[in-house]
Amino acid sequence: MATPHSTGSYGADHGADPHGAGHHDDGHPHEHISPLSMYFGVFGALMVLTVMTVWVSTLGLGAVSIYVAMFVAIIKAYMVCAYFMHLKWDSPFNRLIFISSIVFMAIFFIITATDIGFRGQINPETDSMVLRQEENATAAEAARKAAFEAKTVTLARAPGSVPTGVDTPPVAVPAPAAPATAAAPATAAAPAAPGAAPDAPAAAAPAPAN
Amino acid sequence: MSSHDHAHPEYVQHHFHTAAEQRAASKFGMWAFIAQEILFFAGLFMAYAAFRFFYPETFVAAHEHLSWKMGGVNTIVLITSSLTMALAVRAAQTGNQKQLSIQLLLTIVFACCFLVVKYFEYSAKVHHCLLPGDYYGLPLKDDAGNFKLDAIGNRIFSDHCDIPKSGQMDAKSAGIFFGVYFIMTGMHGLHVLVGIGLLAWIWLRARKGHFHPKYFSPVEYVGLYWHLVDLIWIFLFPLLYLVK
Amino acid sequence: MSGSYGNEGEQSYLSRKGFLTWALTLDHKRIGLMYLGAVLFFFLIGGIMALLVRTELLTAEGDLFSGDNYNKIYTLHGAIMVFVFIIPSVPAALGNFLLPLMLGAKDVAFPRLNLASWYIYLLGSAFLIFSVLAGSIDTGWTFYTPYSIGPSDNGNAIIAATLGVFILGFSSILTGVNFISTIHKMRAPGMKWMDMPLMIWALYATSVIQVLATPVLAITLLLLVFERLLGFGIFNPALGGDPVLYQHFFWFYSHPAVYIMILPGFGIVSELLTVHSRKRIFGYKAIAFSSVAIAVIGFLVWGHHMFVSGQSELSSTIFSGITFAVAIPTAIKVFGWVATLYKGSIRFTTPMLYGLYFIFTFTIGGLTGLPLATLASDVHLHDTYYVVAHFHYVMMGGLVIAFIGGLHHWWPKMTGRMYNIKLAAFASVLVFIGFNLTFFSQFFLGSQGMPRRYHAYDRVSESLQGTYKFWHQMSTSGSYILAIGLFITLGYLLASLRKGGTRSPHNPWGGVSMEWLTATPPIEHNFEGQPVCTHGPYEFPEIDKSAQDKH
Repeated sequence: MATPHSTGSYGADHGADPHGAGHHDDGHPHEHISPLSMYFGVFGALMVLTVMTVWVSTLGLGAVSIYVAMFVAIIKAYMVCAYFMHLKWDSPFNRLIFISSIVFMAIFFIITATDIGFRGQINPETDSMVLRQEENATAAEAARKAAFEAKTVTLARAPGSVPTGVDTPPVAVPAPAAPATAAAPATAAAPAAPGAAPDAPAAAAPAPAN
Repeated sequence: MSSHDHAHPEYVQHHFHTAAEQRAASKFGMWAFIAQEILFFAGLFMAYAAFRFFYPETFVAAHEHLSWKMGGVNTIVLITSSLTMALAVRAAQTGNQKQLSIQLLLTIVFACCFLVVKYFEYSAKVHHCLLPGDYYGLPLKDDAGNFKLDAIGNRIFSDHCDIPKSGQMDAKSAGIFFGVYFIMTGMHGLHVLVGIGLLAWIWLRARKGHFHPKYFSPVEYVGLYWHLVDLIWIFLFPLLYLVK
Repeated sequence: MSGSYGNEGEQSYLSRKGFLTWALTLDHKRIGLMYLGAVLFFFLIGGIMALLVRTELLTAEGDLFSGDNYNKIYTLHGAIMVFVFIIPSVPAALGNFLLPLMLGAKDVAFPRLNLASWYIYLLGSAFLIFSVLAGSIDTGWTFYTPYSIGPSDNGNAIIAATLGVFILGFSSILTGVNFISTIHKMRAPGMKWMDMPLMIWALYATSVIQVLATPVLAITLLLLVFERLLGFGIFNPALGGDPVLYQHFFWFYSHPAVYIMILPGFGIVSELLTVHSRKRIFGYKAIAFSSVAIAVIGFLVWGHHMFVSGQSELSSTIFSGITFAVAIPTAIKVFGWVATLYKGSIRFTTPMLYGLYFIFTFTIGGLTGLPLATLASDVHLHDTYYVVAHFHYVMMGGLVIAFIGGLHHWWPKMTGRMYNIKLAAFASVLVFIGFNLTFFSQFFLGSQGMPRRYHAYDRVSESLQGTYKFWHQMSTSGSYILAIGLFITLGYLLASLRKGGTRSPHNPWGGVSMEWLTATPPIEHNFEGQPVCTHGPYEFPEIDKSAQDKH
């Protein structure tokens, strides 16, 4: 199926030139025309990779799955850029623009991560996440604040964990003070109630703080 | 080195000497535009990364309420539309007017399919009150417009909002997740919408026979834009629908 | 360089009359002129705001404005100056006019986009003006959260201003895309990268930043609008969001934007100093590449605006370290300019005077940045008048001085008229004295602890109040001198346009870069035929070429 389409009305003027890109005229651009097989091949690969991404996400790889998913996504993105967008045959400067946009995006991500990932690492007392939540605790939220402070204390005792607490395994957090205070909002909000915290680990971690 | 050996073809603007110069400059400009699009979405991905780091449990819990099936279908629809777009560009390169027109039309159809699926997806979110920030669970307000709070200061969600009321997700961070979700998919959807407009424009011009192997840049640039839309979705899909 | 000069009979680009010939023009020169008119108008408005601010600070008490109104006035001053004056001033106004001429091209690569960027600019400005009518913003030009998302009686104004800046961003991006493509693909035959005037190198670096950084501002402001309108919560701590994240987003654009503002100034000064000292530039390649280096390093240092915002200590340390790296390419430029002057045949024309002022003021601006880059001393100086003085030395003493110098240099080319030379030299001295008096005083104020954004300082100790009052009064009187100088400048520039104003000679300064090849003012299609580049931009006839030694 690699034969080019039959040339249309305009192309007929250049019947002698199968590429139809005007090789005889230097004023006109030379274009790369890929065979149809390439397009369908890339399309097939993209489909396979899509199915693979979904399949991998069902394996329960935990934290690793996001990396696998991103790796597959990058391969897919490369295929779209290189083949569908013809970057593979484009001028080096156009490739450079594209790559530099990725580089500057990476700069944005990496440098911001040095803030977001390391807040309060040097001096836990100034952890801005902690300060922020404390400042916003209104009088009406006193109960939740108490639970929150209990959590902060727990974390201070465990120096290995990230001070914001969001990264710690769900089971470790709802410890001592939590169930009693957390049960109150749960009953008020929904019938699921007291048992909810231990039963639903995903929801357990934020619960004591809120 | 005079460049006025021959008259300008009608598709070469007066300030360019040759078709090749026009094409090189315009293609370069298109890539620069794509670069800025990437940086535009970089902001959204940054927001996603930051809040995923702050609230990993909520992100995992909340993504269960997104339909990976609809996301998956849309992924396939979009990749297929990318294929038809690439074929349309190829048809323009080879001067096959009929194929050009058919493939452009197919691309438009797939793009509309994408938006239809998106519509159903959004309606489901609205139905369950899985909305951003202040609207998460459609909290009740008093006459003065302030949120009603329960005994311990939590917002009271509307009765029909089953998922927020169940309390399985922390309301604040779930509101953030759905904020990020709606902005990312919304901005992407907006690009799809613009893409449909551009494709329709190109299709009309193609039917008038504006494009031929010596001049098909607009088709190609709309194609580049359309592939970019696909490119972004390739990342959005696993990040939003498949987080684990 | 070969190529033909415009004949007497050839139509000047200004000759066609009528509103529509301007409103629908695709001519980069006309678009540049329209931009020039607009930026000068906003410079006037922003300048009046600045004078109001200075007048309020003459006395220690807040007697002229209430605190709220003062907040609105300085915010408006900042937003107008940054977003609708400085950022488009050199690239969109002078750059639009000069870039194709300097490259020997007929127009920019995308003339229709260029016109579109002008109308987008007008739309964005209209939003900003609307925000003033809707109650005016009081958040500072940075729109920091939570100021911009908290309860406010002028929420509509904040939304209008934010959308205005969002829209202005697109104008900036389109200009950037246009310039990059033009520089890459439309140079005259024979013009290699190293034959481009340094102005073009500077505009190139600027455009790269515009394209890569502005979209991040766009998304930031869009998120802010969603935040404010719909309560999305991303930047709102009460909803679990992170206001420091907003600052990362904002400064990822706005620090590089500082280089969008200053880099074109570097370009102009490189032209002024060489043409008016009749010498090749010293270290062409070093100056050219340092522009690009500044553009790249500029992306790595945004966090030095956030030393006291609660970002992580690790971040602060890294940002502080990288910030010092900016000094290297900047110093390369300054040394290059000074070495260019050495043994040159300096003519003290008005453009040259501004070029010399630039070296003086910009060097002060640059060096006073070092204590701010130093993490420890910044904690003391942060949010004091020291910061205000520093960035005015860089922005006003850097870019605006260069812009005015460039305006004087290319005014004859743009209009075909020559302004009153003696008056111009006199006004430039006023501007220089006024500027330094205004802002040097503020270094003293800041290091004594006077904070920014206060409309009164009557609650400090008696002696401190006296010190503040003295320097504030010095600063305010300086600002009046500066204003008089600028008004005189505006006056004689406009006067030169009147019927019977002095016609400028074809090439008043003896420039040899390509814009001087065509008629003055240029013909509609820039050049008759295609000019060919045969020598570098600074090969003045006076240069003794008998010795092969380059410098």
